[in-house]
Amino acid sequence: MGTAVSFDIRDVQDRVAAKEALDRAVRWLHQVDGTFSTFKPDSELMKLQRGDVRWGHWSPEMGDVLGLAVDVEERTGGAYQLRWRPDRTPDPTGIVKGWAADRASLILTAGGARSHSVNAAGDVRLAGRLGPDRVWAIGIAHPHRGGSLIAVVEGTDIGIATSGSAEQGRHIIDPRSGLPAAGVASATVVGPSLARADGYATAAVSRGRDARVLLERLDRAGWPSLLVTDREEVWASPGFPGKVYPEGIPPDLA
Amino acid sequence: VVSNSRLGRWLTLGGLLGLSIGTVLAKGASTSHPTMPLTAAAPDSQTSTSTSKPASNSRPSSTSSSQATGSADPTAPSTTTPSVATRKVTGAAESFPYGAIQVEVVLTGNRISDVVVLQAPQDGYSAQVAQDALPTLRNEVLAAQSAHIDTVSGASYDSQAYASSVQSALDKAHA
Repeated sequence: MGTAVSFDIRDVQDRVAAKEALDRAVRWLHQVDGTFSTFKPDSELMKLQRGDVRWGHWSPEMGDVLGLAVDVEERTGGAYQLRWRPDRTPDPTGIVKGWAADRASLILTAGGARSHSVNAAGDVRLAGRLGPDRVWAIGIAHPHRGGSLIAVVEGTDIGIATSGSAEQGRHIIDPRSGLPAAGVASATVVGPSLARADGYATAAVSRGRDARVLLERLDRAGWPSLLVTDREEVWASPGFPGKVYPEGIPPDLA
Repeated sequence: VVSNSRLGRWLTLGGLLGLSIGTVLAKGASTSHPTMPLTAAAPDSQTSTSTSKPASNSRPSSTSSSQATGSADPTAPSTTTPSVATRKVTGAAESFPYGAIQVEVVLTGNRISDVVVLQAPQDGYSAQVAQDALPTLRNEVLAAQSAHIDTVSGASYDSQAYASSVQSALDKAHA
C-alpha cells in the first residue's frame, strides 16, 4: 500500500531551480520508502524487524526516526508507541510520513522553492507565503460529513496532521488494551514539526475517549489541536489557530 | 517498483488541480497573482506538482507518463463566463489491494464539480475501508479546486486507485 504525496509549489522565481528542487524532494521520498517500507522485504525497517539489522547498527535516517518515535512516546505518556505491534517489533510508520514531508519541505526551501505545501495523504507541511497578505489556507476534512470541512486553518511554516480511527486500512491500536482504539473520529494536531504532529494525532486516536486529556496537555506544550469524537462532539484546544465549523461547510464557502 | 507511468498519472492529477487553483485565484485578484503552479507550464510531468510514494502493489501501466498538464489552457477558465457546459466522464476501474475503484467525474467547464463513485469494494473490511476513505478523497479533489482552500488535511487513506480513476476521466475529458 502506497502513500500519495502531493506538492504544490507557488511563487516560482527560478523555474529550473524549482524543478531541480522538486526532483530532489521526489528522490528523497523514494529513498524514504526504500528504507521504511513495510512491504519491501529488503527495506531497512523490515530487516530491523527480522533482526537482520542489529539494534544500533542502522542508518542515520533510521536512527533519527527511531529517536523521534521514542521521544513522542515519552511525551504522550505511551499513547503513541514505537512497538505497537503484537510481536513488539519496532514500527515507526505512524510518524515516517510526516517526517519525510518535513524533510522534503526543507529540500524545496533549500532549492529556492520557498512557497510550497507538501500533502502526504492528508498530513500537510506548509512553507512560505502566497502573497504579501496571504498565507496557506488548509481545510480540515469533516470526518462525519462527506464533502464538508470542519475547520479552516490559515498559516505557514507549520505542519498539520489529522488521524482517524481507521487509517490506511488498519486500525490504530490502543496500547493499553492491545485492541483497536475507538471513540475518536479524527484528531488534528498543528505544530512546528509535521512528524511530531503526526505522532501526537495518532496518540490522540489511540487514547480514544481519553484523548482530550492528552490534547490539553499537548496544547500547553505548543501543539494545539481539534478533536472530533465518533459521537460528533467537536472540541478545539485553547490554542487551536483555525476557524471551526461543527456542522461542516462546503469547501467553496471557506 | 513504482512505475514511472503511475507516477506520471498522479503528477498529472496534481497538475490539473493546481492549474485550477491558480486560475481561480488569478481571477479574483486585483493584481497579477504569483500562484501559477510550477506544473502549469512544465511539459514533463515527472517534475510537476505531485508524486506518489511507492506502493508495493504498484503494477506497471501501459499508458505513457508523458501525459502533460498543458492540455488545459491556463487562461480559459478566467475568460469564460459561468454559462459553461456540464460533462460527465467515466474513469477507468483502478485496482488496489482491496479491490477496484471506478469514478465518474462531473466537469462544469474546466472545474470538477463532483466525483461520483461507480465501483468500490463490496465485501466486509474492504468495503468499510472504502466507505471511510472515499468521501474524504472526494473532499480533497473538490477542495483542491476551491478558491479559498489550498489543501486539505484528513485521515490518511490509500488514494492512488481513486486518484488514478479521477485522472483517467480527466485524460478523457481533455482528449
